[in-house]
Amino acid sequence: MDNNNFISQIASTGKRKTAFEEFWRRYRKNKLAVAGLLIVVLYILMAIFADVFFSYDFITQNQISNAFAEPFTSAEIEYKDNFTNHFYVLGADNFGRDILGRIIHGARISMIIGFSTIAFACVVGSALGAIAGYYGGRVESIIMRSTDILLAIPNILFALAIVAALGPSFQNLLLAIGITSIPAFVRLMRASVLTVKNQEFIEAAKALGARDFRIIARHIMPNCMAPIIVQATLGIAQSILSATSLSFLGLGIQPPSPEWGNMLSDARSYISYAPHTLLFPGLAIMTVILAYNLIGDGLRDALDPKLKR
Amino acid sequence: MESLLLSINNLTTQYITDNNIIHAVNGISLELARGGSIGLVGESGAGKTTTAYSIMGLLPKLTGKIIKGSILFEGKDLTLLSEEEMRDIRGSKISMIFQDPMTSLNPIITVGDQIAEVLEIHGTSNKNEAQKKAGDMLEMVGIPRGRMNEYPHQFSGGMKQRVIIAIALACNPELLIADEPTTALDVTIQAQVLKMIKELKNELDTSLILISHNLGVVAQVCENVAIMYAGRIVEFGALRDVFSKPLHPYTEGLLNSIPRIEVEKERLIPIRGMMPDPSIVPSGCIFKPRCPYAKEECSVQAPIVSKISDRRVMCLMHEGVIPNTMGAANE
Repeated sequence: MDNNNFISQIASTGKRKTAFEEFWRRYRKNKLAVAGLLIVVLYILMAIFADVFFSYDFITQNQISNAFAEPFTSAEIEYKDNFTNHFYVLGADNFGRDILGRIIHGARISMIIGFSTIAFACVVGSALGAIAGYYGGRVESIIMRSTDILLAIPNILFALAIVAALGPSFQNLLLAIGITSIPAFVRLMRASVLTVKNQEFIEAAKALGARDFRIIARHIMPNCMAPIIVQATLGIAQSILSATSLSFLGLGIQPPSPEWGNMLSDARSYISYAPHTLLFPGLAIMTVILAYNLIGDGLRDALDPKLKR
Repeated sequence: MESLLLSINNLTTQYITDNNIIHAVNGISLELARGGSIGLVGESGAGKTTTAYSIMGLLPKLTGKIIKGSILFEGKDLTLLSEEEMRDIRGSKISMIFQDPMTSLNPIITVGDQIAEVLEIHGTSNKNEAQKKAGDMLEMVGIPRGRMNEYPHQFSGGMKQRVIIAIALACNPELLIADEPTTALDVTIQAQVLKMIKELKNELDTSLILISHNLGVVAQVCENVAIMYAGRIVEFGALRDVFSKPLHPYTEGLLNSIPRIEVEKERLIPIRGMMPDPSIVPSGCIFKPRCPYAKEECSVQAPIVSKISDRRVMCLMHEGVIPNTMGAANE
């Protein structure tokens, strides 16, 4: 065909970087953020392959004779009517259960909680925020005042109320944390929409006869994604923390399920006698939260158009 | 005679805020023939863009209101149509090009998809056809098809404006409203873009309303010109007539403030003063405070539209109320 065309095609594909490559180039510069990403990937892998390392039955079954086994010690265990020698990498808890195994299975629960609650809050919150920001007026008042009311109640207290009312189950925990995470997204999305909606390309889209839904979904929201992605990352850390706090208070994941907050709650009576039972789940919580926050900071820097170099 | 595509009658548009009424457009009338072109010229705040937004039905919902008058487009009064019906017309029958090409494109959607979008909105073609047509449109405005998958930031200002023109013309509209399409571009690119608008207009047989504060831009493209001042069309006529022999003192003032190659002049003559506050309704002629020919009658009697052959002008000098001294001053 047209020779010119062909040449310009080659020239443009040769030098063009995809948006993702450009993002990754900037994200990579922040070494702490890369470390955070590695830690999170490690935990996610642990969560996915938890059953490969330890079976769920094993880490929920009591081995009273091995209670409080020290880290890096071996002990004889009875499992499925067999007596074998088991090496406790991080020691055993007050029921003789392997702490490493419980942390790995706990990672699965924490990751599920983190992702599902934030996915829920992000979709609901962003949609509400976009509607409030775009339409303004009465719709905005209703949505924003409702989120203000939600914000006025302390997160933990609200989650407590929901769990107390509906009973402590996994679904109710997700619901409670999901709902308390919504306001941050509503406010953030509304603020972003307000800055985007007066730009000329929105006016241009209207001049093309686009419907409100198309304008919001295709032209406004994608342009507001950067702060939402950052908030989602930080929100995951927040909701994991909320879940562990609720479990610690006995209102979240019920024993014998291996949830980190649960493990802390069980172990706190033995803090002076067997500090490792408290230390490792605590470390797990701390590293995950820290890692998500580092990622959040890294994303903020990498996605902020003002910092484009 | 050619048929009328657009006929604006006594259009009055106001912006109503809590403690103020801005009289943006005050009873303008305008006719545009099918395939014709009108240049709308005036200072900032003369109501050019408000006129365009009134036609498009894009006035700000809370404040902007069409108080009276009608906008007949293909025989239908646009002011009476529902939002739904207006949406079908926008982009397919009437398109608009905005002033700043830098911000008129969505930064995160490829240009090809943005052209294809308008075709999809109006259901003229399915996804594959729309993509193909988008490529055709790009080639029509002189951009290789291969750049369809690039983002707006990879284009220069002039090329972005070409993309915007491609979007505006994608559905082959009857009427194209270009709101200062070249203001944000440098002079060379300006000339290219204007030439292209003119060529495409003729090729596609589209009617054009070109809004500009630059008489030179209008001169390159339009057949007719309407001079706007403070929400009124003070003079309307064929481009050649208006430029060679202005009838309104304001038009004359505008022409005097452009440098001309054939006239030796030390200094250009500006129009003195500022445009009046649009929230105040004056008595008499709106241009009186700045008019070099003004007489006492001008502050009492408001001029009406006088027809002089196929031209129209709003000035008491042409109503015979005060003597016409304009020609004398020119010679």
